Amino acid sequence: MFRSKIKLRPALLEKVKLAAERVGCSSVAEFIERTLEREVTRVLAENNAATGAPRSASQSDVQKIADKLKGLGYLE
Amino acid sequence: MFYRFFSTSCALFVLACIALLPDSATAYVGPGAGFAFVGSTFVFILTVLLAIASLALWPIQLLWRAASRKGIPKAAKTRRVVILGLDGLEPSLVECYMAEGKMPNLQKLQRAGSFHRLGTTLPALSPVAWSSFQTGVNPGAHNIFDFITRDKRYCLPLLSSTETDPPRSVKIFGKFRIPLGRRKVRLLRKSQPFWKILGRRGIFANILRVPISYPPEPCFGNVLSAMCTPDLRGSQGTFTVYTTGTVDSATTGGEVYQVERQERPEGVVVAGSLIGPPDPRRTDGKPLLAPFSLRIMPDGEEALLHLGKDRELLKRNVFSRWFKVEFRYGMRGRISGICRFCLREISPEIFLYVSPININPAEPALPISSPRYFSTYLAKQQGFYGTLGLMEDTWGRNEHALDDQRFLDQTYLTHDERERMFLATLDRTREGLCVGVFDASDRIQHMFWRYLDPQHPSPREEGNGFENVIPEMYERMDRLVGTVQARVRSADVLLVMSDHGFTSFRRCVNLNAWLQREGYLTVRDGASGDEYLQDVDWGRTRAFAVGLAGIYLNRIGREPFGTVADTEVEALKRELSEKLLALRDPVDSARPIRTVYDTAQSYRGLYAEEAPDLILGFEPGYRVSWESVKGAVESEIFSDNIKAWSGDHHVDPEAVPGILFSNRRIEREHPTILDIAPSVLDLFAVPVPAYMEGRALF
Repeated sequence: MFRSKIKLRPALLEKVKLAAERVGCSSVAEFIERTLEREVTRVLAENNAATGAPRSASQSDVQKIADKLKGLGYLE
Repeated sequence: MFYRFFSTSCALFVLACIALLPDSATAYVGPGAGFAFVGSTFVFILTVLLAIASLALWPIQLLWRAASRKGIPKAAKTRRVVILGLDGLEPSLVECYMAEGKMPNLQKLQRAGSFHRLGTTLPALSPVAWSSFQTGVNPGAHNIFDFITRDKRYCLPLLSSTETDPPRSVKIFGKFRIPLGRRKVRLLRKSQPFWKILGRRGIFANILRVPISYPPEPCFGNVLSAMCTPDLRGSQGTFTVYTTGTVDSATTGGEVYQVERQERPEGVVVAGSLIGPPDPRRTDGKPLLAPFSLRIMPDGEEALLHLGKDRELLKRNVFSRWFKVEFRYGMRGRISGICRFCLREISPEIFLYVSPININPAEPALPISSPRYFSTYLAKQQGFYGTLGLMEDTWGRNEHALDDQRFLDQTYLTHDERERMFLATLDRTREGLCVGVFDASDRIQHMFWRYLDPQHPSPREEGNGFENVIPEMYERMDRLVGTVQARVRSADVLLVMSDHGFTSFRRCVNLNAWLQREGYLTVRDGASGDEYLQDVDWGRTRAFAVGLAGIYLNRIGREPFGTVADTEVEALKRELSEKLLALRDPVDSARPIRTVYDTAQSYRGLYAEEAPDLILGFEPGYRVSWESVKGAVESEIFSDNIKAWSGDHHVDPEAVPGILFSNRRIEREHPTILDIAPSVLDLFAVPVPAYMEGRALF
C-alpha cells in the first residue's frame, strides 16, 4: 500500500532524467528501479557464492512453477 | 471528442443501471487475494456520481485540451488508424493464395497501397515481436526475449511477461489465514506502448488483445489484455477431463478425474466438481470447487448438464456456450469464472472435456482491462467472451483431450467472438487508433502444419479434409480483411500485419543434452536431469538452456551460481557458436542451425544483459525440443517431433518474416515491426521519441 520514497539531489535527478530519456524508459522510476535491480542481483549473487546458499528449489516451488506454466503450448 | 466523452458518460450510467438490477453481492476477489464487498446500491450511486462529474467537467476538459493543444493535430496525415493483426500469417502462403485468387481483399489492398514482407524480431516469437510492435524498440530495451525466463534464485523457468506477488496475510490458526490485500500483478515488458504517447496528446486508442498487455497499462483509451492472461487458477490454461473410463495419464495428459455412473430414477447421472482457484482463506492452496452433474438422456446421444442454476443440453462433440461458474467460500465470498463444455463421448464411457476456466469478463477477478469496467462493458455488449491469453487449447489437443476437429471448432468459436468485438469497437472508434490482434491464424498453423508438409513425422487423421484447414483459414482471414476494409474510410489508414511467419517443425533439438555432451553442463550424480534445471550441478556448469530462445552462460554476478567470469565470456561464446554451427543431424547430416546470434551485438538497452547470451537461428524444420524449453536434459540430442503441434516459427528470423499490407503506399524498402510505432505516431503528427529505433514508413 505504501511505497518507500527516496530523495535525490537535483543535479543527480537531472542526469537520471536525461539517461532515462536516452534509453527509452517509460518513466524515471523505471530507470532507477532497473539500475538498482541490476546492482542488487550482482551483490546477492556474490553473497550466494560466498555463503553457499541452497542450490535447489523446494518441491513445492517446482510444483508452483509447473502449475503456472500449464497450458503454455510451446512446452510440454 | 464530444462523442467519445458522451459515450463514456453514457456507458458509466448504463453500467450503473445494470448494477442496480437484482444480483447477488459481488466480491471483487483475485485468486488468493483479499476480499472487498461492494453492494449494488453503492456501485449505482458511485457510478451515477461519476457520470454526473464527467458531464460537469466536460466543458472544462474541452477548454483545457484546446488550451494545451491536445487532440489530433491539424498537421496529421489521417484522423484514424486501424491496425488488424493476424498473428503468424506467412507471406509465402499469402503470395501463393493471392496468386490463386483465394485472397481477393488482400490483393485489393496491395493494389491500393502496398504489400511488404515485415521483418520480425530476434527471436521470432509473438511476445517478443508484439512487444517491439508496441514500443518501437528492440528486446534489449523492452525486456521480453521469450515466453520463458529464469528466476534468479534457482533458475526455475518463469513466464517472462508478468510477475505476481502474493498478498500479505495474517495466519489465524492451522491452515487458515486472513488476506490483507490484493495480489499484485506486474507487467514486466518495459518501455512504453506507442498508444500511451498518443494518449498524452489526447488521441484516443482502443486496443484489443495485443499480446503482452497483461496486466493492462492505463492510457487515454481502452485496453483489453491478451497473451499470458491467466485462467482463474493462475495457469496459462488448465483443461480438465471427467470420465467414467480408466484414467490413463500416459495417453491423456492434463487433469483427468474419474467419475462414477449413478443409476437414479431420472436416469444415469455422473457428478463431479470443477476445480477453481485456491481458497483465499487457506495457506495450503486447497482449491475451491463448483459441483456439476450430467444426466444422460434416454437416446444416449445427449446429456443434460447442471451447473449451479444453469442447464444446457450437451450434444456429443459440440461445444457448449459459455457457462458462468461461481466458486463460493465463507458466507459471501465468491470468485466468478466462465468455461465451455464438450461432451466427447457418452458410451460406452463418458468423456467430458471442460475448457480452462477463464476469468469472467463481467466480474473480473484480476485486472484484464483498462479501465477496469471496459471488460464488463464488452461483456454487457456481446455476452461472455474468452479472456484467457492463449484461448485455443493446444495443450488439450496435444494431450488428446480434443481431436483435430474439436480444436478447430474451439478456435473458430474464439475467433468469431473476437471478430464481433473488434468490428463493434471499430465502429465506435470514429477517430484515433483502433488495434485488434487475432490468434487463430497462429494456433491453426501450429496444429495443422503437418497436413501441409507430407514429410512431417506427426500422425495425421486421413480423409477428414484437414489438408484444407490452413488454406481455408487464410481465406477466412481475407474475408475479415474485406469486412474491415468496408468499414474504413478513404482518409483512414489501414494496416494488416503479422508478427512473424511460419514453417514446419519436424525435428527437435535438446540443447541441454548437447551442452552436457560437450561438457558445458553437468548433471548431479544420480540425478535424471528432467526437472526444470534442478538437477544441474551449477559448480560444474558453464552454459545452460531454458526457454525457446537460446543459451545462457552461467555468468558470475548475473546468474545465482555463476562460474563464468566476465573475462571468459567472449571466448566461450565464440567456442559455443563454432561448435553449434558445426552440429549435424545424425539422420541425414543436415545442419540444424543456420546462424548463432550474439545478443551483445544484436541487442541494446537497459535489459540487454538479461537476454540469453546466444540466440539460435534454427534452419526451418528444426526447433528446441519440448523438454529443452523447460530446461530438462534428455538423453538424445535429436528426435522427431510427433506432436500435433507441427508448425512453428522459432527459427532464424530471416526465414520467417511477417506481412505488412497498407492502404497507403510505403516507399521504404524492408520495413520491420519496429517501424510500426513511429509510423503511427508520424501519421498523427506526434513527434517520434528519439529512443524509438524504427522509421516512419509513410
